[in-house]
Amino acid sequence: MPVITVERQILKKNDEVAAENRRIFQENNIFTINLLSSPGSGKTSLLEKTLQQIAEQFKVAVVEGDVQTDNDARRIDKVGIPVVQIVTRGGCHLEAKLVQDALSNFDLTHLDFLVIENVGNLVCPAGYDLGEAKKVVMLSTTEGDDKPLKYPAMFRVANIMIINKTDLLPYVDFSMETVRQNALQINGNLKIFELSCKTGTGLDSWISWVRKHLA
Amino acid sequence: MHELSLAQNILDIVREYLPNQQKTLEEVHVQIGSLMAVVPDSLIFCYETLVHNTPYAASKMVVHILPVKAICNLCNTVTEVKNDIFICPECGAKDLKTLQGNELIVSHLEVR
Repeated sequence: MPVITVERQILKKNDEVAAENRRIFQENNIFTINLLSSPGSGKTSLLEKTLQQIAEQFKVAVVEGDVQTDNDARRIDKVGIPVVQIVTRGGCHLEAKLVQDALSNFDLTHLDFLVIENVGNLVCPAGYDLGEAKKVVMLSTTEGDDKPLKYPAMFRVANIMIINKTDLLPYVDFSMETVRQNALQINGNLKIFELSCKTGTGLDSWISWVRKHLA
Repeated sequence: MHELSLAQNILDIVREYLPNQQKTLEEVHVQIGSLMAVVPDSLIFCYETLVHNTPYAASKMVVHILPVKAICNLCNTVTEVKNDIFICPECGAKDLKTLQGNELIVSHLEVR
């Protein structure tokens, strides 16, 4: 049977737009993170609790991705941070083009830090580059310390892992040592933060890490 | 799941290579790295759904799953990664670079 050789990346289109986004971020000196987790880990809470402090010194903006509602954008707006909501209407992840379209809402020349809060999902967003500098994956102590083993693709591509809800450790079967071991055997280069958005414990070192990339 | 989105992208590539009906598409072969968390049956189902009532309706998708391979950044040992454990079997280092496993590729089309 005649064969036509193709050898094409299935997500080539997305990768090309992501490369454009990355160039836009670099040209404007914007540090961009792609924030990923399961639904309910605390992505929006982390932003609520830390962006105001960062915004004292730097220009910050947020792109919110959700399947439905603008609830998260309203929470970010409430703390005074410019925000654009992308509603995917069923789509399980953000794609580079959606982010690029959202960028027109911001004054990029004066922006220092952009957070793209992805749709809550530990599977699909792992495969879609958005042009970010770092992928930050969050998990919370109520989800179980085997999350990295269950979603290896996500933890393999992430640069940073945040463990949230450490205030609940006395009440849940979650071992900090086990989760670290599980995550580091998949990705030995992961940098790990332990924090509680509820009590504020550990937020300082996260904020310092962000500031270090903005200076 | 994102299999539908992947299947749509695959169909777009097929359309680009076979825009007219001079040749009939028999099989579209794709390579999927096993790190990509793609379910082959689901991808095939989505593809078959999308090509329904198109010139490619009779075509089949063949999925080739590629195992994960990595190289140790310390001792350069190349290893096949099993159970997502990225630890060098030679020196025990955790600093491994993925060589294979992230693929999402349309490799070739078989036509008649």
